[in-house]
Amino acid sequence: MLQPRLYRPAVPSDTLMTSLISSLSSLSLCSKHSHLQTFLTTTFVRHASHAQQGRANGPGDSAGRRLGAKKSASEYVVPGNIIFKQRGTKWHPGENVGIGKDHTIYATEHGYVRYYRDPLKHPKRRYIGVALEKEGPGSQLPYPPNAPSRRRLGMYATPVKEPQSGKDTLDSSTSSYSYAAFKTGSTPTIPPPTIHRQGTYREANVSIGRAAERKGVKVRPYDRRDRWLAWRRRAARVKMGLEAKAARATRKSKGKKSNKGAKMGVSQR
Amino acid sequence: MAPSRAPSALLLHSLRSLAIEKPSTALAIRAFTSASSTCQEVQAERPSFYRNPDPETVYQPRLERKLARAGRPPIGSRRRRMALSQSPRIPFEQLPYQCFQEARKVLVEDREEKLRKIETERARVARVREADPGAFRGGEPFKQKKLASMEAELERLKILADINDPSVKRRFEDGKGDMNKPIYRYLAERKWREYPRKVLVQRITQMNVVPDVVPNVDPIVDVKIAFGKKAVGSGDFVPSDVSEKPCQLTLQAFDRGEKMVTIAVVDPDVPNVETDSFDSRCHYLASNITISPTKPLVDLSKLSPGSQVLLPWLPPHAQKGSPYHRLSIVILQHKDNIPIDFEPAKQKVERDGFTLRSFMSRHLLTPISASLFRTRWDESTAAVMERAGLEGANVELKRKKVEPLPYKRRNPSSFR
Repeated sequence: MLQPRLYRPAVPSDTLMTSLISSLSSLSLCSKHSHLQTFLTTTFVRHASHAQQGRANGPGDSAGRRLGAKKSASEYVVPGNIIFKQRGTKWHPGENVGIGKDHTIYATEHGYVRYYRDPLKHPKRRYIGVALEKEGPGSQLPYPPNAPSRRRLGMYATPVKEPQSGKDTLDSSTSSYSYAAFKTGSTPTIPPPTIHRQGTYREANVSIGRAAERKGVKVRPYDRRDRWLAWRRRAARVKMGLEAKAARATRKSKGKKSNKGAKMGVSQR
Repeated sequence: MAPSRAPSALLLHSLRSLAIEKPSTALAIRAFTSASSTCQEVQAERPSFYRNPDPETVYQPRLERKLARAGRPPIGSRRRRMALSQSPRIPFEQLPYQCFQEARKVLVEDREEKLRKIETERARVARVREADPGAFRGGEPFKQKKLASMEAELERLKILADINDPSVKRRFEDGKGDMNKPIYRYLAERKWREYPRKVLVQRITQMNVVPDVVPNVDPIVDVKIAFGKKAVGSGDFVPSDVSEKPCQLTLQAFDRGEKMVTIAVVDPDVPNVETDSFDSRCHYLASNITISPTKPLVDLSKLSPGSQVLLPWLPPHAQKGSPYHRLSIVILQHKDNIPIDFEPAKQKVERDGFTLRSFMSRHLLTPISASLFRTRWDESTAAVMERAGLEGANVELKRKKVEPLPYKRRNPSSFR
C-alpha cells in the first residue's frame, strides 16, 4: 500500500546543505536559489505487505525432471528401453520406436538408435528411430524413398499345442458341475448336492443356472426386429398389469367397504 | 462437311436429353377442376399400392423390403420418395413459380451457348487434325500437344453444358447415369474423390502397401472388393473361410475408353523364420483384362485360365501367432493397352518370393490403383489350409525373447 509521507532530510546532510547555502549566499550569486532551503517533499513507498515467502511468488526452482537422451546414437537397445524423455515432442517417433503418453520415446525392436530428419515425411521434425542392423545399407535411417520397409519377424515356430479335450479335464477336475464343466458345455447331469457350511444340503449356483437346460426348455432366440412378437409380449404384459391392478382395487375396496360398514354399523348403533 | 454434321446430330440428342422426363402416369396432366376424378383414375390404374408398390414413391420399410426382394430396389432416399408420393408431380415446365421459370430460362440459354461453343471447338479440332504438321512451327509434337489441349477443352465444355441440368443431377443420384457420357463420369469421379478415394489412399499408405508392395501409386480407378455378396472395405479383416473363393472386383474407371490391366493379389507378410524376416507371395495374378467405365465388374473366378490367369487363387491364410497378413490388390495398366505375351509370362512367374516391382518392370506396367484386405489366424484357417493342401497349419509362431545387455554402470568414477 502506498502512503504519502512527509519527511525531513537526515541531519548530517542538513548541516552540510545549510553550510553550503550560507557560503553560497555569502557569495551573493545564488540569491535566486532561496527555494533550496524549503526541503520538504512527498513520495510514495511500498510497505512489506506482500508475502515474500511460500507459494505466493509462483513455484520456485523445482527439482530437475531428469529429461533428455537416455540412449545416444548407435547405442544398442532392446524393446521397452527408454531412448528419450521430453516435454512435448521435441523428437518424434520414427522407425521401430513408440511414444508414451508423456512423449517418452521407447524402442519396440532391438537394434541401434538413430537420430535423424526425414524431410519427405515432414520438413521440420526431428525423428528418433531404431535401425535393425548396425552396419550396412539397412542401417541407415530414414529409408530411401519408395523403398520397402525393413522388418524383423522376431518369432520362432513351435508345434501347436492341442487343447486338451473336454472329457479329460472333466475327469481331472474335482467335480463335473464346476466352472470348467459349465464352459465346455458337457451333458448336463443332476449334480450331487453339496454340503453347506451350516451342515445343510444345497445345490450349487452353477447347476441351478442350468436347470432349464436339464429340463430341455427351449427359448426362442431374441430377434429385435421381430416387432410383432414384441408387440404381443407387451400387450400381454399390459393386460396382466391391468388385471393385477383390477384385482388389487377390488380387494382394497372390499376391505374398505367392510371397515366402513363396520364403522357405520357402530355409528348407527 | 462430314465432321460438322455428326456433332449436330449429337447436339440434337443432347438437347432432347435436356427435356425433362415426363412421368409416365396419368398424374402428369394436372387436373385443376376435379381432384377426385384423378384419384379415381389412379385407383383404377393401380388397384392397390400395397399389392404393387412403385419403387419411386415407396417409403414404408416393409414395402421397400418387398420390392428389394422382387429385384426392384427403391430409388433415391426415403425422404425423397416420401416427398414424391405426396406431391402432384408436375413437370418442371408447368410449375407455376415465375422466378423458378425465369431461372430455368437462364440455365437453358447457358446450355445452348455451351453447345454452340462445343460445335465450334469440334470444328477447330477437325481443322487442326487435318492440317499438315509442317504448318506448325514445332512440327508434329506441337500439333499433338495442341490437339490434346483442344480435346481437353472440348471435354470441359461438354461437362459445363450439362452440369447445371437438374434432371442430369437427379439421374446421377438415382444411379441411372450413363457412364458413356462425360458428365456422369465427371460426377462419379467427383463423388469418388470427395471421400472414398481419400479413405483408400489413407488405407494403402497407413498400412504401408505403398512402399512395401508398389513403390508409388496415384489411384485413378475405384476398387471395390466383394466376396460373394459380402462387400469388404479396404483394409478389413476377412475370415479365412470367406476368402477361400476368389473375390469379385469393381474397377470403376472415370476416363473415356478401355484399359488393359493386370490384377495382382500379393501378400508381403509371409513369415520366414530362417531369415527372421518377411517374404512376399503372390496369391493371384491375371493379365490382359479389359475394363471400361461401363464394364467395371471383374470376377476373378471367371477369368479365362488359358489366356488371362497367370496364377490361380490361393486362399489367403495366416499361421497361428503370426502378425496379420495384408492381401494387397494392385491394378496395373499395360503400356499403350497392349496385352502381354501370356505363355512366356506364365512360365516365368513364381508364386513364392514374388516381387511385384520386377514383374512391373519386366512387362512395363504402371500401377493405377491399389487396395487391400487383411487376414489372420481364425478357427476356419486350419480347415482352409487343409482343403488347399497347404502345410504349416500345425505350426505356431511365438515371440522370441530379447535378452537385454548386462547392466553396466555408466560412470563408475562418480560413484566413488
